[in-house]
Amino acid sequence: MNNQLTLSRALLSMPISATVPSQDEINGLRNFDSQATGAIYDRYFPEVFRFVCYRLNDEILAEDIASDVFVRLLEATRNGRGPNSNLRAWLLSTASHVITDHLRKIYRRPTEALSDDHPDPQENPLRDVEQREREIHIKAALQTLTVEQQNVIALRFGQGFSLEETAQALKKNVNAIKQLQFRALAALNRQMVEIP
Amino acid sequence: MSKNLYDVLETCLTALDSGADLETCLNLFPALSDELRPVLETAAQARAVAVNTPPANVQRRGKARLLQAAAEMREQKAAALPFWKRKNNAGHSFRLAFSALAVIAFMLTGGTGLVSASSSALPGDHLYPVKRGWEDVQLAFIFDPHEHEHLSQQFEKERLDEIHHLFDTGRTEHVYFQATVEQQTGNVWTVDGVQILIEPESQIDPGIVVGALVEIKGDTENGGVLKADQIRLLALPSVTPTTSPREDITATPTLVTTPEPSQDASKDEIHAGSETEYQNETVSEGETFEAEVILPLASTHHDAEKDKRKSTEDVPESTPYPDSGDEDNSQESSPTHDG
Repeated sequence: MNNQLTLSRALLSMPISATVPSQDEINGLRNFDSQATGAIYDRYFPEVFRFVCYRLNDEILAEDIASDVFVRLLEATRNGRGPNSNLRAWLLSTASHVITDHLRKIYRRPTEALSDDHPDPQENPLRDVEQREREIHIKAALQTLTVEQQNVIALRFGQGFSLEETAQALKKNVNAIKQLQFRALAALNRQMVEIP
Repeated sequence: MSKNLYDVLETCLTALDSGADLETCLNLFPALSDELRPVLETAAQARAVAVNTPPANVQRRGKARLLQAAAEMREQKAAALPFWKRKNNAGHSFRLAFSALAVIAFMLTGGTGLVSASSSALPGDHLYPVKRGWEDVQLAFIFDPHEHEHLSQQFEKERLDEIHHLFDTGRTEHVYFQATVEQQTGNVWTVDGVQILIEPESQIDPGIVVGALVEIKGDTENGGVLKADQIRLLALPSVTPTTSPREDITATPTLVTTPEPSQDASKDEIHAGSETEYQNETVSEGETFEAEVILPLASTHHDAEKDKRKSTEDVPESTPYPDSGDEDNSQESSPTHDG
């Protein structure tokens, strides 16, 4: 797990300039050009997937939602509502909306949770049981926070975004992110205490 | 809760990222340690949650789905365009044709004043392209070959007049026209009365002789000469046949055979190397004549005619006689002498 974390942190430490799409790619996206669309997907899919995965703790669901976010990008572009420059913020914001919609549907039509007897296809046998329980605990607590609080924690601690990157992705200023971050962590701490 | 606490939290988070431990961070801000401790511990737990990199197969599946959607939207976008805005289709050609027709219609109706104004334009004038374009339009809509030829000659004469006018006014302009070569003397040619100066850099098609029709591009110069940039050969001169008899040359007749119909066709065939005979006639130079070819059907017939001149080895398959060296020998437009 440590190796996986190290790799993920290394990926996350990529400079922002390396993740900014060129104007050619934006123009190619508007023409639904395969090459430009594929390049944008390759660049942003890991971030979106990790973001969704952090928020939901479900890789299969994260795959569906992350893919859906990119299809929504094409649809928005077709309807003239696509992003002009801040593609990353648009994708993460859309991912957040899709997650919220998904959770709202679940609350309206609760489904029977899988029992512990069902094998987890994504289970990593090397993962420490105690660590896994802690993750389940913190993810459960996370889902009780507001969407903005969840997003700031997912980006700052799940994605490793800087304050500036988080502010850009959430379209807020840095001071607002600092404040939101403190409140989110405080709320998360309270929820973790309250949730057994 | 002061704003300073948010900054302190960020400072501590940065320090933890750099490898500092929790107690060291809290010791930096002892007054805030009670508030900071649970928050920093939660932050550490939030960071410890595994960050999953998407598996390669997940990424491939998502990409395939996205590219499929992009291809569908690309097709929908193309289908939604009006047909004259689509690229690489008949609509593009239609638009060009429509534009051309619009220009022609303009020139035929509202553009007559412009055409009239351009009639006296010279090369280099703003209206000169209109003048030449209008000439092309006129030629394109005349389908009678004689009238077309007449109008072409008229326009060629107009080109020469324009050049002479440029010479008279001493203007240096780029011109292009068609003309017939009248004289080739060194690096100065004469075409339809215009002197052409051939420069070393001039591009000249090979094989241009006096009488050839050429297309010339060049610049008018002071002194009434035109410096050639390019001379293209359009047509070589047509040779006028000589039909008058020339007494000083022994005629070499061209043999034209007229086989008589026969019931036994195989006997009438003349093969290369067949023995045939013809009756000699004196004809003028360049003339052809018809001869009665006698096939060697029977030896007795052959013996009776043996005083007649043999020609089999020289005239296989009734081809014309080999060239005697005279240029006019093989003119086919010569009158035929019945014999």
